[in-house]
Amino acid sequence: MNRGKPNQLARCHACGQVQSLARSKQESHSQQEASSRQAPPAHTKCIRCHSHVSLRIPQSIHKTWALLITAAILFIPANLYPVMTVVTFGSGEPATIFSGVIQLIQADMIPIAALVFIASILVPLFKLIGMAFLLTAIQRQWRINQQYATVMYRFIHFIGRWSMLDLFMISILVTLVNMESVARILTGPGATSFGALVVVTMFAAHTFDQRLIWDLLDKDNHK
Amino acid sequence: MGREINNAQYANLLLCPDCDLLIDKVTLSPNETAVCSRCQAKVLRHPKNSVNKVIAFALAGLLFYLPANFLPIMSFELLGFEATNTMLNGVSQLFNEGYYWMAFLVLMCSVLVPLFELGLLLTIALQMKFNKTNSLTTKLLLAYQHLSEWGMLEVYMLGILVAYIKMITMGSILVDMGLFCFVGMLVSALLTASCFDTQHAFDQLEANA
Repeated sequence: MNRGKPNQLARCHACGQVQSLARSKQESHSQQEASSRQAPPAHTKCIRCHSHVSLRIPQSIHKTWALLITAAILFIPANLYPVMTVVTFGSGEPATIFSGVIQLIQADMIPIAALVFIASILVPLFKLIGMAFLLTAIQRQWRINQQYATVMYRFIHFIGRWSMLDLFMISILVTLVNMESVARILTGPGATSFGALVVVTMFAAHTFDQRLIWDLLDKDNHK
Repeated sequence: MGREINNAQYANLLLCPDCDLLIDKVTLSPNETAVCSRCQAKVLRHPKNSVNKVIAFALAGLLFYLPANFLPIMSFELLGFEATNTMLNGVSQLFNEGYYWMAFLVLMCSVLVPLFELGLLLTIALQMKFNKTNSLTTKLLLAYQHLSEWGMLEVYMLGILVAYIKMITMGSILVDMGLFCFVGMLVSALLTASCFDTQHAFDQLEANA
């Protein structure tokens, strides 16, 4: 199948304009450098919207790993520290994300417990493991099913935002339960880590270049 | 420039954004979507009557915006104490507790970005409708594309639902006018975004130029 990269054709990620990154003959002549014809610039400006254009996101694997490791570290305080504290008549009861889920189960609110569990624990965990798998597969050139890998990446990209559920819920609860000495809900330090976790994993999904999944096929063909 | 001439021949080519497949550009009838034959990514859309719809839905969304943000969404009563929640007092409460970064995040995702999105799309659509497009339109389109991922009204809606169900057993909780305005804003914003396609807008800008 004919692809963009072997032809030095790049798609502008912003406006979709297809353009050639290969230097024209005149240009490479003027630079008196024959090798530059083989090595196109890593990135240039889009001819239509002037965004950066490149064949692949530069340093995609490294950037994604860096963000992913940051996220994995943030995952620990996000789950160990309380995200909110319910204070009733002066005595506080700190709740982590996980103990919040347990409390919901004990209160017989199973569907909501499942929802919070999926959005706050399973989704970040799945994102971390899934992205690490894709990155390793690309680096080690594993034979993976490109279709499945793409679907998996799209899923990871799509569900990321839904983890913000917990933060929005906290911002609502702190105002609703604000009865001075009777009952109050206070934010806990875990919430900051959790927010950072969600943002960092969203950036990780963003810097990952999913065309690298399909680049694995080229390598198979060459062998 | 040699590069510009070279690029004319690529005008009828598409590259799949997801798998880098070279695809011949097809002409779509309104409301048709072209998908990549290999990875099923949407490579080309032709939203029907996009400009007029975007103007209508974005205006509706902006009308709902102020009441949705300032009117109480829910109120909660316990032992004679009453507290109400608006989108903005949630942010200010987090800020007062010293969680500046969280307050900023919630403010961005649920209040500021949705406003920018609606405002940007309305401006772009109005410029296109009256053929007043210029280099600013391109900048606005790019700004919209970078921001759109961070608007999370639909997630906030789920947050409202979960908070509501959580509080039901604890005391008496009432939904308020703000919630209806919020739902109106949410629906308008979703419709605006679904009627708009950045790439299609860029193609139209180029065709009009």
